[in-house]
Amino acid sequence: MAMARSEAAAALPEVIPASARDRPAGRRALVRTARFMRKRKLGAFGVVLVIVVLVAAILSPLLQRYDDNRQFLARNPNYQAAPSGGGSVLAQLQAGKTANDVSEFVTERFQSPNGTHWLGTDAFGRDIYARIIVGARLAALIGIFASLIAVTTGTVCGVVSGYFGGLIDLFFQRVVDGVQAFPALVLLLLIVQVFKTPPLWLTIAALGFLGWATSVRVVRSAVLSIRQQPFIEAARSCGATDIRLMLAHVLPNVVAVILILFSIGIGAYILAEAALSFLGLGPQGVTTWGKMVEAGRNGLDLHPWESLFSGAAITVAVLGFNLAGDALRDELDPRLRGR
Amino acid sequence: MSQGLSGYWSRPIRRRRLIAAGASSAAAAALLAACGGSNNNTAKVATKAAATAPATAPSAATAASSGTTAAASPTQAASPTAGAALPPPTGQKGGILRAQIPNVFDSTDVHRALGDPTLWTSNYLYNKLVMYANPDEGTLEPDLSEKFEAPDAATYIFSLRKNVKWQPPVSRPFTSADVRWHIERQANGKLLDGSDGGFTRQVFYKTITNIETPDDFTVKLTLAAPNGTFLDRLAAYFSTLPNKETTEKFEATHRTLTEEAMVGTGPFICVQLRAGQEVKFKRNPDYFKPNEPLLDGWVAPLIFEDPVAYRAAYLQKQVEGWGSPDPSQTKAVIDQNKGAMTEVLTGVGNTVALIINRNTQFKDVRLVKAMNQAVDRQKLIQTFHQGLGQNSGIVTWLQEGFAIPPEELGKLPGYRSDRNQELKEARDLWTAGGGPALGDVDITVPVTWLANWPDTPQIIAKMFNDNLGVSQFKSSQSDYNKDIIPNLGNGKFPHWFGWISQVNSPDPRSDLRNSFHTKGSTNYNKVGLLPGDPNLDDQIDKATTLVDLKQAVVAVRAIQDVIMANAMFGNITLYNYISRTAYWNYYHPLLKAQAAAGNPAAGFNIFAGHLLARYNWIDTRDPSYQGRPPASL
Repeated sequence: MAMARSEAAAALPEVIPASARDRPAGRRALVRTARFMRKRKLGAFGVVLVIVVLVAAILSPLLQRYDDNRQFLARNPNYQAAPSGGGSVLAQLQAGKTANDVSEFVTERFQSPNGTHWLGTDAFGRDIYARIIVGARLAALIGIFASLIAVTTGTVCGVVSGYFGGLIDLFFQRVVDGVQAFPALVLLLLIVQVFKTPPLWLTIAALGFLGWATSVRVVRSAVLSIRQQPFIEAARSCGATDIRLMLAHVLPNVVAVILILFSIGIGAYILAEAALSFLGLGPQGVTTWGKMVEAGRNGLDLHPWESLFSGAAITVAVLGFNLAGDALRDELDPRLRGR
Repeated sequence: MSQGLSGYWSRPIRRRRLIAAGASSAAAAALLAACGGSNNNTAKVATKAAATAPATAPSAATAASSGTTAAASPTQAASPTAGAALPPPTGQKGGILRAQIPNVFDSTDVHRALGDPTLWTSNYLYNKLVMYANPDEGTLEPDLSEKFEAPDAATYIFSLRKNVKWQPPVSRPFTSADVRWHIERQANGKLLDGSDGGFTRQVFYKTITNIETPDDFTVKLTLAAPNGTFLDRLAAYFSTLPNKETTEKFEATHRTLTEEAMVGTGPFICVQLRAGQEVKFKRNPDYFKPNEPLLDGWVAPLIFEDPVAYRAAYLQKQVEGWGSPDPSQTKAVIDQNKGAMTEVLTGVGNTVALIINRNTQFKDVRLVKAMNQAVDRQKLIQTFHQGLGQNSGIVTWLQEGFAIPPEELGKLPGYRSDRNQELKEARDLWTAGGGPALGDVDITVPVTWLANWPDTPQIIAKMFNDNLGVSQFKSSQSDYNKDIIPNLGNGKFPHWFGWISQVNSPDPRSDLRNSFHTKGSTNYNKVGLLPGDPNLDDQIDKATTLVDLKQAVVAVRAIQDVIMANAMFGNITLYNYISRTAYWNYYHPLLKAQAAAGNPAAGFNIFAGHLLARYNWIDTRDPSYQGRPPASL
């Protein structure tokens, strides 16, 4: 075992000090993490935020405390049933009674943060904390899957386009031009309106489709420089097929770019979904942060909690993914690694 | 429930924004309706007299304002709680009102318009043969007629005013020939080219079997059968009389908005009616009612799709009134501006209901009953209206004289305060009726509702799943124009939760007939035609012929008992809510009762826009008028 470790350590590049090469793998990871956090403080902060969001998303059934649509209803101590023939509710209100006086049960709406409702309640008496936790799951789901779609399809098209060039490249790039010619939000609105009631998968697909164009461009650029490298020529001269060249030699060299695209994209997609939901065009029938911001907007001066906390959640998630993505880029890009 | 003649069932709500002003429709309704001076106690005393005397004299006040002689003008109260008269107008003349109206017009032809915006707007520009002196109580007064008589419930004689002129450019006298054309065009249902015109009230006008016009100012109508609600229908907001020449000129282009297409006899002349622009009216200088209107004009801004913008416009006095979908916000604004604003509470005529399609999944009446008991009315009122609302039976509480009293309603399934008992029974019925085998049940919510309360689908689906102990309910959004209205006739409409008919009269008989008679024009749930249904035809027919309101109340109550026992045959009425509207004090809207001792004022629950010209005014001397931006036409 000691021998194996020693051989592995010997294989490490010289940039890693000998003392580090002799450490166990787990410890090395810790050291690397510590170094990353020391060097990229903002990135580390971003990673922490991302972890918070992902933990909230993954463990939301455990963390949310209440069903996100549960309405808290309480018996009204002020209620007195109107005597027989006491007139309509409207008549009672016009006689000076309040809405609370005439309701046997009242929803616990617009509560400020308290022990029962950590972040308060919304207009329908629902727990804002529970809704934000559930919203985290959706935000993560949308962000990750939309980014995955964009990056996966973008990578395939970008590698093919960049590797083959010529007419194939021309075709892909003109399609990309076409997609990018539309303002993203307008295109999103168009897609959503066509489908009228967008289910979750459609929102994800639409966002992914929009990100596809950018991914193609970036990956193609990377491929264009890779395919000029001598090792590609060498592999080709050894008889490697195009498929093999792309999968075994080109793709591994653009992985860093793909990872960066993926991580930064997540934040952008979360933001885009929030914008759509804010406009009332996001996924229906689910709790989203964008919808929460919109729902609280009308009474922002009187009941700010819903918009405030959901807006903060969006900020945390987007900031986290962006900072983490930036740090990842700095870490993986050889030109920026030392900075 | 659905009202036949104006037909919410067939009413298109063209865009999200139509009732996107939605809770603001409450505000709009409150703004457009209103006016006052009665109290319930006096009303109820007077009621009894009215109930036994369907053709009583109008009050001196209404006679004075309408230029009639009291002794010669019979009126009829449509509500057994009717009676009190409105005070004469006393406001300052002049000024231009700025208040929005639900201005999503589907036509300029009131005979063919499906949407309420056109019909409501016509009440400011046109007149009717008779009109409500007090819509909530159903008292009538002559409008285009100088007096009217009803020798029996099948014969009606109208003596028309001689001083009525059509607005420019027509500018000729109004005569009995105009009334004949108005009735015959709708009864025949044909356009000038002979094609079917889609006349929405054809069924009603076809009941008039004979029209006699012995001279230019007398019209005698004979009905196929006695109808105790006939005058009531003529007074409703959808019975305005348009001008023949103008209507025919724009017949082929009635969907294109232009002020030229809406020429009437009314208090205002339309000076701008263009798509995407403010609607503008100016005072009709030749209006036949003396001292009306008080206002010089009216500018109706485009509907505020953003409630925040609407509120900002109100606070800057760019509009005179405002109401938020969140009533607590309206209250907060009023409280912050104490002394400068008035709070007005108004019952909203758009009933909130759960419509279950019995033609598809819910053929077993037990399933419909289960839904009726599973739905939590009080919670919905709390959820969407913060407690400002009241449960309604099939006859709403707005129609107090005919409705089942609250204490009795509270003993019926679906309305009891013991929710545990309700839910136990609901679950038993659901299981017994084979509910679990239905698979997914989608309760749709129209987009117009969602504009105000976007999370409704989640709340509705959860309510039924929780209350019935299942997980088969889901909820999606629907569109009145695309999903609901086109499918009403073919029985394929979705189940939906949202607004239904505009209550247009204190007398519910016409609505009941349309929805629950086997020949009813809006009997889309095939009441009486499906196996096991009781047949209500005889009861409804008999009730409709009654002129004596006391008897009518008894008859309607018997009909309601059957309907309620069958969970309203899927047309499950839930509640009517109450809108809270804020007005700057310089603006005096049409009110049923003024604010007093710190209590809110009362608007009319049933559309009263035709009274606006008489009662709305702007007080330039009120301190709150300071800072109001100038208005111009």
